[in-house]
Amino acid sequence: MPLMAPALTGSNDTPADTDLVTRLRAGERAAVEEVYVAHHAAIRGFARRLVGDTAAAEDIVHETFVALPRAVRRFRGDGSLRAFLIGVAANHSRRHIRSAMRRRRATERLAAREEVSVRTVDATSQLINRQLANRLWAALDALPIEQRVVFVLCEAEQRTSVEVAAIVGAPEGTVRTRLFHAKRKLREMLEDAT
Amino acid sequence: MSLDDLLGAIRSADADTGDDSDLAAATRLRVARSLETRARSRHQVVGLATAAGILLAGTVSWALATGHIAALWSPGPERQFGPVTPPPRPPPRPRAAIAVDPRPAPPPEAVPPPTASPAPEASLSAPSAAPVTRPPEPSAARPRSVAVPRPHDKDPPAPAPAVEVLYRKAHELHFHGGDPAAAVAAWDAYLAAEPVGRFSVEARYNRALLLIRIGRYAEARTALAPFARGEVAPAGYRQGEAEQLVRRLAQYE
Repeated sequence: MPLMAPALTGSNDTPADTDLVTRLRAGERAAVEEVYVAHHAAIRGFARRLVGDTAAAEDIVHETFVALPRAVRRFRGDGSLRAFLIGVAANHSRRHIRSAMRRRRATERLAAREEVSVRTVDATSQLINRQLANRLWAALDALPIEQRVVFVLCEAEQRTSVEVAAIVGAPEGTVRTRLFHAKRKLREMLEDAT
Repeated sequence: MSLDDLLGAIRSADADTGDDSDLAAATRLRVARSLETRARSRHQVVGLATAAGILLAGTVSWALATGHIAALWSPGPERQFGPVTPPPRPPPRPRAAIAVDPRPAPPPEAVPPPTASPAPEASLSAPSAAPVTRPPEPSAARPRSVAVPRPHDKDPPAPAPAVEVLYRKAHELHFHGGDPAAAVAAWDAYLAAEPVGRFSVEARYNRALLLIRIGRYAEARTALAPFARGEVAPAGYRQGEAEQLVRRLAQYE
């Protein structure tokens, strides 16, 4: 059962997207490549923010576009194709979130055993940012996947609740509730950590 | 440290990732290959399904054509759930019974032919009143089984043709009827319809015996002469018997 069913509302489709969707439904493989060229960056960005792991994000991108010819049958054309693709990516992310979580924990254990400190190696702002981001992703691992997706879409990608509701196929109120609970849990975890 | 700080770190991590063009190209290639593999698998499945369908249709057609499918629909429970058996053959028609009967056909003993008895005058004076018994002939010496061709087992059942009806009628009158003249007429009718056929040799011989029974000795002798000379096909069909009869008949002409 899919995590969420993208039921997009609010027409954001362009004529080019409409043409692409028609060709996708006809089973054209070239259409998939065109969609990839047009939307892969957005899907990749979302996947990275969601899982915090480059390899897992690439796997999500791959699965999203491989599943597209079949998934596009659910696309009603009343939303943007990009938002629909993000919804498909979110549906395929569950397994990858778990694998990224396991990798992150393994890395943390290894770093602790070998007493490797990032600061001692390099104290650039880039690495500090990375460390902070890892801290947030580790906290996100404790959230249910529905709350995690909504949090990433609303807070990391700064989308409106209407957009997110269209992507995840849930009512706007549900999106707000999920976001509320996600932020509350994250704040609690961060407070406990400090 | 606030949640907003961590969110800011995530957003800035995107910018620090650098050039993704190689990664994007590699993933694009992966997607293309996966789609190609999936399409090939789908074609294979369609091909296998088509082959299976053709095989099934062919099997069903064959079963329908050969009647094997009837075994599956027969009411017997052992046939419904047991292995498929050939359908029961239709009951043999009278002609088939005659042709494939392994027992020797009743010899024309019922016909009172003249024998080598010591008083032939007496028997020929009233041949119908005092039928002469003929010594039994060893069945092995009879070429009857050769003369009567057996119908092929795989012949499809067909409606009996007119000549077969005539043969059956003559056969019935000859062996089970009480009127030799009517039997002669029946054999004549059969031989007129099929002068050269599967049973024509046997019909001629039977007719000749009946001619003796009704006292038409000259005709009988003429009819038996080819048999006595072995001129009928198969050669030797009732030759010895015919020779005896011709010899005996010659005494009364």
